Amino acid sequence: MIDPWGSPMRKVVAAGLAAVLGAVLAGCGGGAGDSGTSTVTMWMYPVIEDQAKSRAFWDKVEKDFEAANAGIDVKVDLQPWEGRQEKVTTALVSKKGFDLVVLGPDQIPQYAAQGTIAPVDDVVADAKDAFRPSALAALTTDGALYGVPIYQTITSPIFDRKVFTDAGVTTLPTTWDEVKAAAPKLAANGVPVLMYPGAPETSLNLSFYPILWSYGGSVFAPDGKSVAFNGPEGVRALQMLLDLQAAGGLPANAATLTNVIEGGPLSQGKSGFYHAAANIGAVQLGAALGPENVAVGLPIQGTKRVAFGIPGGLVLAKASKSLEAAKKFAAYVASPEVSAALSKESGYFTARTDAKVEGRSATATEFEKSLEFAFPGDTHPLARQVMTLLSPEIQAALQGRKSAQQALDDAAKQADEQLAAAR
Amino acid sequence: MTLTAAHPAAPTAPAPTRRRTWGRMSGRWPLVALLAVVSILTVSPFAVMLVLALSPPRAPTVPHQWPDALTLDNIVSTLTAAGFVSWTVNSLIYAGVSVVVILLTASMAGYAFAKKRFPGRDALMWAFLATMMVPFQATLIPLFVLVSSLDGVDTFWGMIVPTLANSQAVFLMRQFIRDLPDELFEAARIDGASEWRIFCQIVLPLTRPILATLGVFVFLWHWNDFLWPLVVAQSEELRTLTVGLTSLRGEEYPLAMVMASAAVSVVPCLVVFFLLQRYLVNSIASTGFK
Amino acid sequence: MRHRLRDPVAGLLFVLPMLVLFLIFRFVPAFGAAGMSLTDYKISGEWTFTGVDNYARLLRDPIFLGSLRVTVVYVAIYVPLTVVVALGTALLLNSVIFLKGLFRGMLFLPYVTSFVFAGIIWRWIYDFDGLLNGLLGYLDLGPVGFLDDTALVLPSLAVVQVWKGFGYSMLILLAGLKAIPESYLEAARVDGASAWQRFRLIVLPLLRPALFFVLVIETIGAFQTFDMIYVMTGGGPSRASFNLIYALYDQGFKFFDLGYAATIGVVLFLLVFVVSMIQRRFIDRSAA
Repeated sequence: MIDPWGSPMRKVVAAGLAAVLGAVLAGCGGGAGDSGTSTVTMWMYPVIEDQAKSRAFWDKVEKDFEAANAGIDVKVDLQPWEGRQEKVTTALVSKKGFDLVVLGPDQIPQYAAQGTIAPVDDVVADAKDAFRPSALAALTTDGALYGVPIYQTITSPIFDRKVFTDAGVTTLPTTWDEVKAAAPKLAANGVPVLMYPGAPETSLNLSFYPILWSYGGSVFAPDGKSVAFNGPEGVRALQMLLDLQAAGGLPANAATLTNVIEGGPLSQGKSGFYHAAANIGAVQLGAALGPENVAVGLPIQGTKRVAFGIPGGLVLAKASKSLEAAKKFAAYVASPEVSAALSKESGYFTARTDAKVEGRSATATEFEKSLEFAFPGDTHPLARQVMTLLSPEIQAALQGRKSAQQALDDAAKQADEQLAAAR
Repeated sequence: MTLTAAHPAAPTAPAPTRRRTWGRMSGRWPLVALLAVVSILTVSPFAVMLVLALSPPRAPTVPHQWPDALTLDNIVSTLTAAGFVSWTVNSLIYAGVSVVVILLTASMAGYAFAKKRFPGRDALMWAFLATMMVPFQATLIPLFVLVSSLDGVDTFWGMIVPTLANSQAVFLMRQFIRDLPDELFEAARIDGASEWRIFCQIVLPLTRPILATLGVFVFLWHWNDFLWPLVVAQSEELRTLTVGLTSLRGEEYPLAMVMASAAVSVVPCLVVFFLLQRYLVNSIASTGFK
Repeated sequence: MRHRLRDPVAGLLFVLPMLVLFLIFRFVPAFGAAGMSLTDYKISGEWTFTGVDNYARLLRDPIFLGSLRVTVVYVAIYVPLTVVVALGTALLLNSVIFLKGLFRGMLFLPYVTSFVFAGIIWRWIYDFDGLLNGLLGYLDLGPVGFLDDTALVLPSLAVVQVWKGFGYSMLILLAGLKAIPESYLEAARVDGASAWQRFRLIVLPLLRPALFFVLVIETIGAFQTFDMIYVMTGGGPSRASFNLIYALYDQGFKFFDLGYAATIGVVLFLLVFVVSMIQRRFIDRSAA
């Protein structure tokens, strides 16, 4: 007989128990609150692409703020984009985690409606005129501001110059009519003119909505009690897409294509342009095609020009134990100096007009021109639900299973039912 | 894990050897060829991953064309990311502690479910199994609130302990322990062995291959786990490798970097797999029972 | 087997550590979710009791009903496919000695990676000008929209999940095969049994516990497939791959309707539970 306790088994078990005990004890040390000073935890996301730069930037912000505000201890945690939804929600449910978090306008109405975030009107009160009106409007729900704008994004069309020249199109299109006219010429070379990303993973804000808006349409009726995307403007927008498709102007898999630039059809010379690209998309395209072949345009005009662009807002948790300190810090991050520095590091734009950013790249300067057309999308508590209802119907239209009118009507019917049920 | 020394007492051990003659082997070459083809097809996507991971970021590369140059920069910059070491240590703790505790508790429970009689045994086994059928996304919020009310948020124990209740592990151990012949336990009992001794001397050694298999799985599940460590470890200090690597990604992170970090995080899993490989080879049959 | 008095006590003691873990960290949250399904639970923690309202809403919700159909079809495609592939590779590995460690490692490799990686690679393979359509092109076929066609998207996704996951079941079946004494097979061989007879009459019955395990686990996994769909199709095209977990995720973490999300979770649980019970009856009749 062999004694099992003389075997390595014993060591393994002992190590396991020790590890468990250690973990439990380590756990007991955590979670204790400080006293005296108030602590502000902010969850920041990688808006500055390079992690080392990002860390250095926020360390400096922390230090500068703490130096000027004795008694406030600031902690900026850099969180991943992935799983942001789950992480922010679990934190809010358990009232643990952050005092401040960066959110886009689409999440704010729902968190506000469920009473988990606090208004921040007083933070911007002194400098209200300095912020872009569209940024403030985007972060406002039910008359209260729920996010302090710290940066602004913008989208613009990006073109592969070469495929247009090859097809004999010397001036890049600036209106949807010109796009339609160019479509057959590019199609003759086997190149679809518009990289339309119809996959449900890609937000409609970056695919269909900008076209809808450019034709003067809107997603919701002004009173927010019904949807309006199936009006004549919406049908015209979707029909324009279907006409483009009939003329060979959309990729064969447009219905399931995502808006990824790197490795996507645009960066392989297999598409003419994408109408709602971010700044970084142009950089990626330049890396793939050579910067000289990339052009950035103004938002394509239907009856008007509209560019999707949203602010990033610092949102305050209602359960925060240091509301005042958190507001102070939010005001500091949104100040002209810090937001100009953030803009420079991140490639995003500032959400205020009095912040001067020097030494921008040429691409960024091109994108900046679209800022005056910035529109943040409809801030409706059910905006996301409506999107998940509309997106599959547009896919159906692009795959030839439904007409423009029918697809939009079908989506509108479902959406109106949801809107009615939510009231 | 080293379980080598604990060979079982073998009351009925006619050492069975597997004799394979060259004659029988030769008939198997078509099978070897088939296996080789299937294996190569299975791993071929990884070749793409490697090439991508070694391509300069954002440069034209596979699958559309062969990259102009290969570089180790992506791998190096992943390995040198601030926090990489602490993420790896955290992941090793998260996975390592879980492997040890789950192997022990699951084989204990599996043994009881397989060979012991107690009231409500089968109902309890099914209750365990039923918890696996509850979608994690549905219980995430209640579980998080529970752990939070126990002050477990942002602690190691809060991250590890809830994942130890693993019904797959219990179920697996039960299925395999059921196969062990009852006579073994009878014989040990006649020898006057205690219950714990029987467990350590008979159950653990005889289930070594399946323990090794389970060890690999538990390690993998924890190593690759994303959602739970993400939400529980709120601050940067307790971040695991999967979470840490995704925190490097900006909105338009180069694909080459994504692949480089995927390649980097796969390596420890492969090491564990190949370390335990030799235990997977040993068969239960070759220990001489049945 | 004789009945022994100390068995109940010893049995319970052996189960105890796991039992405690399960009671706290599995049963409590599960009952919490079941409770939430009867409320309009809000993120703020406020709720009112709404009875079976959420369940009534399910019956009127065409998106839920559609996701139910997608889920069932997916399970019906995926489970047989993965069991056959896992069993086939396990049998192959079991009958080959040459380089078997290497082959086993290669076959297991996809299980080690993440669905994000699998998603990226397989999107290329399935792409209109991807690998598969390139091969079909040589045969003057295609292009086939593997992820674009509402009829093809579920089989295409099932193939990816099989590729990614069969290594797991393969290893378990392999361990099961190892447990079959060589002497049984040798005796059958001496008696002149063919390979198929040996497989059907000896291997298959003895493999039953492992096979049952694999079947149950893979079925549960198929019902709960999410990450891969999220990465590869977003539930599309036109909700052709929008399954119950996707619906649950949308309601819970996109729309913050936690009560309704929990309701979908309860329904999904009941569905899996019933299917597993049927499987158990089906297999245990002749086995355990």
